[in-house]
Amino acid sequence: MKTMRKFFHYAFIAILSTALLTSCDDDDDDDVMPPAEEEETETITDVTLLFINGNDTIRASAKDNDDLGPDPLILLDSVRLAVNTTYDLRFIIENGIADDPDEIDIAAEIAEEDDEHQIFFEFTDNAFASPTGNGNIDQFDDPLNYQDEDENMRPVGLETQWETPLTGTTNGLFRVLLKHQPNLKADDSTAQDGEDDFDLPFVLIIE
Amino acid sequence: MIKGLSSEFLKVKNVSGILQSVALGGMLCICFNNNTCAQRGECAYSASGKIVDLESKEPIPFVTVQARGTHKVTLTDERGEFVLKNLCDSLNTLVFSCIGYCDTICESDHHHDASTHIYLTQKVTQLDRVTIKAETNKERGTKSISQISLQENEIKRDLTQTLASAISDQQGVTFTSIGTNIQLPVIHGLYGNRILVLNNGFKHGFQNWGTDHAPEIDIASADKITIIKGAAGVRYGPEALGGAISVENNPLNLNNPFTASVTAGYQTNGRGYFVNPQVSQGTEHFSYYLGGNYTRIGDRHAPDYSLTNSGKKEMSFNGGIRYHLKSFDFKIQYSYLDQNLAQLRTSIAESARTFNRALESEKPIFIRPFSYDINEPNQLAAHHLGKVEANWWYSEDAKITFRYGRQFNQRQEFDVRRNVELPIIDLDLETEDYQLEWKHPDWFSLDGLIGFQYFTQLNDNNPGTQVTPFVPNYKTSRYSGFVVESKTWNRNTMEFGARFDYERNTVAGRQQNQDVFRDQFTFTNVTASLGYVRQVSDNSTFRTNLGSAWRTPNMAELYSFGQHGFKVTYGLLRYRFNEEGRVRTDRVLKLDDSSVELERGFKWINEYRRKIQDNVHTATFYINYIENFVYEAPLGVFGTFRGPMPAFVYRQDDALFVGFDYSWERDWTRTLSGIFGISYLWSQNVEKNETLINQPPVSTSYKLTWTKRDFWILHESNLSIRPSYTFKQWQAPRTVSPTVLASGTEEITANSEIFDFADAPEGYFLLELSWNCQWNGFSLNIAVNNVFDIGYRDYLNEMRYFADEPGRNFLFTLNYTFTDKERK
Repeated sequence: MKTMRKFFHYAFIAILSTALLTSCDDDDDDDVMPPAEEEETETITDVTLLFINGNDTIRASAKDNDDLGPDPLILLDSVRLAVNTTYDLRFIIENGIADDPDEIDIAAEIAEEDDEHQIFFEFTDNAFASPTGNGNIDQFDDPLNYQDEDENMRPVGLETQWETPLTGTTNGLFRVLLKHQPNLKADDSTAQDGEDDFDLPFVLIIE
Repeated sequence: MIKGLSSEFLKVKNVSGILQSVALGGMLCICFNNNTCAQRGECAYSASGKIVDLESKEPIPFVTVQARGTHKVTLTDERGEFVLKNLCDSLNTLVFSCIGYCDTICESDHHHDASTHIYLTQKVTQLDRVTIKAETNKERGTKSISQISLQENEIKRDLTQTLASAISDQQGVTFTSIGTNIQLPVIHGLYGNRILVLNNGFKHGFQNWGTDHAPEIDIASADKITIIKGAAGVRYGPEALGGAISVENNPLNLNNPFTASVTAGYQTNGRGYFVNPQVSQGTEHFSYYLGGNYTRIGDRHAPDYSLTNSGKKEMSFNGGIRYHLKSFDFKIQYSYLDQNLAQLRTSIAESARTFNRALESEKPIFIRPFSYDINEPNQLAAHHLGKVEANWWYSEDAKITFRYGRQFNQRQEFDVRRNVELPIIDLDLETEDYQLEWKHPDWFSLDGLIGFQYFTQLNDNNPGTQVTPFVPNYKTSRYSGFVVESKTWNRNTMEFGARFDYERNTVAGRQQNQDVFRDQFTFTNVTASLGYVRQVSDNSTFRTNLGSAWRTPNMAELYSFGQHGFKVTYGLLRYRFNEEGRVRTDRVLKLDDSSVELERGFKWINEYRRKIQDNVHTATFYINYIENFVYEAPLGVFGTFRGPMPAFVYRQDDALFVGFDYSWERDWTRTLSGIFGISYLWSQNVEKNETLINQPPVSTSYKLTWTKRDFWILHESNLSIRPSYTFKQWQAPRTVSPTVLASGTEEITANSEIFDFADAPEGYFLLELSWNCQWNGFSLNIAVNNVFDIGYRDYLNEMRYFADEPGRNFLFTLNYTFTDKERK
């Protein structure tokens, strides 16, 4: 017991003096290193819709340079299609803030995680010969010509096909909605499930 | 330490056993005897004695003597004598607290803190053990402030709860939360950085910003929790604008027999379980404790559905040793907590439309069957605290204390996003405290403390989040000096204090384009307090305190930017208005170029406590005026790829808080006692003349406790019932729904009136039942919360937008404590 007490006695004194000594070497300087550079991979600044018919490509773009800043999202073009034509719709989705080329292409990232993503569409009722109706945002199993699928055989929407009718449309709607549905995407998942990655209501003109 | 029997102090009356005399340290001497007349039925025991000054042998009047755990209280008379009658137990713990007269004397003791246990080996047959515990005195500098202490037995009833919910039954105290795991204490409407949380005497060093970071303190390690309701900024430093909460671990008492205890529990809601082993022992010179806790809770459920992803996992360890010499005393303590807290999955709404859908939906949108799994969104936090304390009583009535504390806090937060495996927030925070205090000798009959503190905090973002960190890297250094003095005469105590702080902050962060920004700013501040306590009569006390406190707007309030949920918020230095009056967020301002000011609070708090026969009334009234109160205010609606996004900024305005707390305790019969409580708060942004958001609504409760001793084989059995009603918050701001915002029909500008996205929830009635019994070393507690399984939403829970609060819960807690009676 006595040796124990002695041991503790010295241990205490040793620890206390260490604490006192270390307390004197603080305040070396005020140099604070900034955080490491981060690639903002979640940000989307540019989305372009490519309607491809042979060698003919029609573009419609949306841009928001400051992402969450006060500058508004701008829809640069209308979706202006020709009557009686079949188009393949593809997307360019980019993060203009990133420096690393791998990080710029968000569409590739979505393709990689396609089991968590789906693009839904809404358009003026019967504006297209195919798909008919007004798209699958209101009703998920409404007709839509998806041409791609994920590993679970579910549609993704990075590739779709559109046929315009003989009659034109002026001042219509062509809305594209990319949903992120981690653990949510299912055979019956809808445009209401998950989070919006982009939601772009373009003006549709078919002439 | 027990002084030998000193027969000259013995005052013998009705001797029925062998008398014991105890000296509390070197100055106080307490003599008592236990007079038992068991044949007269229960509650016929009594204890009497005399308290005299050991040195002068003068009797000490007006010492409060209480039988612990009962309402039996008395004061010593002019001759220092007391009699406690009608005690229901042959086994009593007597608590002596010495208001006024001997606050100083107890403290100046060489051998004990005022809280030292003294054990007597009783030879009176009816007495198994008598513990004398001098009540820990109120901390110097806070004597005149209304405060409440929770003891270990009250804390241990439910170890699955958070610190904030453990104290929320107290008047004027509640909590604000995000779900069931992240809960922040609220005192008189203020929370977060406006309540100082002290962890073993040091400011708890954690990521204290936003409403989604709760202090990482495991209540299983707490021995005592004190809630100080006034602006205790002088004594404790910045941030105590609304008050302070002090959590203390085992006090490392000397002369404490070997005690080992295990507490384990199970709760039905969330199928949670915990186990908490502890051991402690104190000899004449040495004491130690060791304890740990493990808690696991799965998804809780509301009456109608499962709250998917609401579980938690928590692990903690704490230990300490003390070595005591004649005039020196050393303590080393360490505690560690590791937690993984789930946040409700359905709360994710990153666009106005999904948020609106969540608001309008009866049930949460994301419901899965019960699981213990914790998925995103969740928070991982680890907190280490190491403490060294040395006390030196260099003369009879003076003491020097040195304390060093080092805390290391790691936090990672995960969100549902494309890179789900990467934390979205990954921060390390290192905090160091040095405190040197001098309890000076009696000087013109002033009792006081002079202290110096050095505080430093270093925040570091770990790379790899793929998100620009919005809390920059920073270093804060603060040098402080304070003095608190009190003077007592007759039945009056006057208390005053002043404090000086010099704080320097160095900041280095990144803008969204990854450009580095740097800043350095310093603050010099003086705070003061003035208080007065009057023992109006033997049965009533009045205390009043006017105190000030300050704080620097926290790093999130200064620098945050970007999306949180479905809204965008910009910190005070992240936005400005250009010449055309348009808001710009493209660069970070220097603090000196901005209009940012320190937040300063002035709180005047009064408490009147009166005992009339079996009734104890306590009324507290307060006014808190806060200059440059930082809050989130609407700015506009920003167009983004995700749709229109409501944008907010942090602003500073002056705010006023006025309120009262009232409680009424009554012993209806010898076995039945009740406590009624009500709290009311009115608050206003006085600069814009509008209401504040997320302020606690009026709440009221009544707790009835029926205590039965020596019933069947049980030593004691308590049954309590606690109905409570929380009113709807009728001071809530107006409601503007997200769809209205997104459609642009309600134009939001920087001058818009503050709003909320949903109406304040309706009032609700809750009933709690609890039964506690003791048998030998065992104690069992069975509690039922939300007995009627009512679906309700709490205005102060941010999850009110998405889901109901948890439904009925049965909680079973079993404790076994082994105490070695053959102590050495």
